[in-house]
Amino acid sequence: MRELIEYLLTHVPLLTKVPSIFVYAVFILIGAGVVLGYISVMVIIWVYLERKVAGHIQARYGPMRVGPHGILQTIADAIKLFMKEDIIIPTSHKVLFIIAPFLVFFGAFAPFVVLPYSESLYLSKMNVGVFYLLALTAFEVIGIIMAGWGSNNKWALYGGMRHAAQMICYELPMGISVLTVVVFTGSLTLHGITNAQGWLPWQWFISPLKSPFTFIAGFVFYIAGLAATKRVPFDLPEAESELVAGYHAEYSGMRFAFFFLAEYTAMYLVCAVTSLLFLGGWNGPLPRAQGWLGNLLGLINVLSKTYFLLFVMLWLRWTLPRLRIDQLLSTSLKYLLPISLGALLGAAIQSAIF
Amino acid sequence: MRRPKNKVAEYFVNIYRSLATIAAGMGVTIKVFFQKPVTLQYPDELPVIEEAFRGLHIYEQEKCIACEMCVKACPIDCISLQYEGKGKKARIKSYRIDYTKCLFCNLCVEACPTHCIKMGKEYNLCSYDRAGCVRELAEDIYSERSTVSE
Amino acid sequence: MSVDYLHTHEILVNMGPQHPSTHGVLRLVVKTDGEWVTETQPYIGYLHRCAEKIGESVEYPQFVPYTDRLDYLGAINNNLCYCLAVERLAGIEVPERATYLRVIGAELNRIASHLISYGTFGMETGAFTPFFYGFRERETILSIFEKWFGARLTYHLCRIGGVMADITPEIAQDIRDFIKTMRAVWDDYNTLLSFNEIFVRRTADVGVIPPEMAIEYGLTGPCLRGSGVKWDLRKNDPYCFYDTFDFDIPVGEGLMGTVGDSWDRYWVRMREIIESTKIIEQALDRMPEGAIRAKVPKILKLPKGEVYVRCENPRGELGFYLVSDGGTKPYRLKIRAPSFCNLSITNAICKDCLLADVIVIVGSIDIVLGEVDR
Repeated sequence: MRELIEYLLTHVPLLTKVPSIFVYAVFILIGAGVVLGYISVMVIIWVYLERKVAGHIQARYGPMRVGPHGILQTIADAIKLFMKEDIIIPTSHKVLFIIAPFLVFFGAFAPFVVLPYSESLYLSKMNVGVFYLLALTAFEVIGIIMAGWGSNNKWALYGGMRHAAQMICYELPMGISVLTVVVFTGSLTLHGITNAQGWLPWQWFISPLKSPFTFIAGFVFYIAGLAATKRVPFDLPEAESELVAGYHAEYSGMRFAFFFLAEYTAMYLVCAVTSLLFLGGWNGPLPRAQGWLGNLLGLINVLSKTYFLLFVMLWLRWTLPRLRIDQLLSTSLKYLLPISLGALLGAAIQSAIF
Repeated sequence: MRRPKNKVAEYFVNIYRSLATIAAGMGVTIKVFFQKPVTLQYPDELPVIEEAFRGLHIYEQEKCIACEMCVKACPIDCISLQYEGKGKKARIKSYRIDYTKCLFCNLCVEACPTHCIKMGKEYNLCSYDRAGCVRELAEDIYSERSTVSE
Repeated sequence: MSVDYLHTHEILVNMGPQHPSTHGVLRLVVKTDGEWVTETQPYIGYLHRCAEKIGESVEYPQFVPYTDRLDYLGAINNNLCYCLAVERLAGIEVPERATYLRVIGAELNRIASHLISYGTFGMETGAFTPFFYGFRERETILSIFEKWFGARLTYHLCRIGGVMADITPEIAQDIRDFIKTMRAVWDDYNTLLSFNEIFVRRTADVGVIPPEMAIEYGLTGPCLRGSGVKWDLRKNDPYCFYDTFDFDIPVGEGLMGTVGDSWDRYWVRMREIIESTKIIEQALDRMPEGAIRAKVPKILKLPKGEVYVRCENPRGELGFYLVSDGGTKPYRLKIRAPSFCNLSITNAICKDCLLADVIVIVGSIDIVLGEVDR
């Protein structure tokens, strides 16, 4: 983005006349708008996909009525959500209740700033990209605790507190498994990490041939990511059969839609980051090319890997039962954390020797 | 399934078991994923209704002898019958079944000596109000004729 | 230094009557300390329909369709038990073919009921897909029932003195086909849920009922057998030729944890599905030709006296206690509902566990509120 703006500032004579700060502001807003639009459109597709995959896994069709094979179902649902009455329950803590969904969405949306789609299709090449990403993903939990407390509902409170415990536990293995990769690349930018991987599958960090430790770290990152996005088997904050709907039990209409959007955005984020860090990102099975063609092929590479990981998420969701809260914590602290620490140690030794 | 005694062995056995059983479960779901769904697309594809189905009643008025056996057999008194005369000369004025109460138990059919009532294949019970659930099965042909003659 | 100021408040939570996993309208008042449950108190009565009083105010044959509505998932078993009670008091001899048909219906219904229990128990642990797989096979059973006697939920198959309809060779073939698919799919069920490590961890060692305690609380059915007590009325107090069939009584063995935990109760149900298929096959093979209904007078008057007949329902011992004063209606009808007695143990075992465990324990007891409240 910055490169594009600087290029335009120097080459388009009209832009040189206005103060450069305005140009930056306008382009930042355009960039944010594009990402927001992209997410909104994609969420509609993911929700449709989720319902279709769930349907076929359960020996039924899924949505079939709205449009051919129900492709307009999510749009109809979105319109329904927007038209619904916005209920703010009188006993709630108004401020917390109202800003919670936006905070949650912010936590899921802000990391997209550093997320590259292909080699030169990105908003920012921040030098602490991965760090920024992890930090802002953790932002979500504040919103969820606020929603749980502000709703003035016991079930919602349970959901919020469960998510707080879950997030604290799973941020640790997530961060450490990222470090395992960073040890090899020596760079915290997503560009640097992705470009440290080659074009062939055994040159990716997920390959045990490259390093057995990043192979383990890849799985740990994905599992911890599942927990961070509250997907089955880690969907305790909104466990339907236990907590009715958990932290968003009292939300309806638009505000509920924001939680919904945030959940799917976070899902996409985890899958995209996994594909960039461990599956080679745009260095995909498709051949290398120059210019805009290279960008297009890179985009297809990233998206296909992301969608594959997304499908695995859905597949897991419709297969597995849910963990209990103590098992959830012990999975993280007894299994994922020691394993990721061991992988980090091994990776450090490997990178020092070879 | 026995858990190993050794704590270290248990640790790795747990990891192995989790991964193995999750993979096996995913195998089952992906198998069904590629099979044809078993559900019917209801309003487009209608289910096949079997001959024995116990749906809304079919009433043959000309056979009815107004013996009231069905009314007596009904466990919930949902049948109401109005008539003049008895036996084969009976004039049926109305034969009403209240489907908000009906149990579809088939007892009225079994009680009927002339087989004038039986259970049909119709299963659409919905109506816009409660009064719509009370269905009149008989045609009041006799009183109509009498009004014409007057 | 005192730590009294660190005390926490107990929260009183109403789980139900509108809650996704209370099997209808059960209300559990749960006292919790964080996630930790210290006390659970069930409140019932939201579905009370005066079934016993209705039984006293309608004639004997007219009450049979009402028994469908007690345990609506095991309707044929309820019909059967009431008919047996009336027949025993009236001294009606049921034709042999009718008895075999009753056994086939009751066992198919038991499978259907256990399939729902499988699905809902999966749902309570958070797995959605088993629910749909359970319903897929149950649908086959319901189609067979529809073909046989025309109803899908409230069957009213058993009549006093026999059954409503005979099965054709075509339906018999359908049943045999179903048994074949059921046995094949059963393995998939277990791979998907029963042996899944998460599911095992969720249910094993949770809600342990020792055998003595199970007997003290009057538990019956899979809940009692899950605790390792080999007590099945089909063998211990046989009716309908059940003693001549060759089948095992599955009991809890503590395969995954302690004997009498939730997983054991679940596993007893799963194995009973297979045992029921064995019974159906034998019944189909041995069924003689003949009448399906005995001669019963149109106006049935029972002699003075009383009778208690009990049957093995999918959920346990269902008993009908009939007192007749010689008229066409019972003087008193008492229903011993298995779900009601099984539910009584929740107070004792749903404490000092986690919130998620309460759901699992109530699910593993497998109650039907239609029967609890009657």
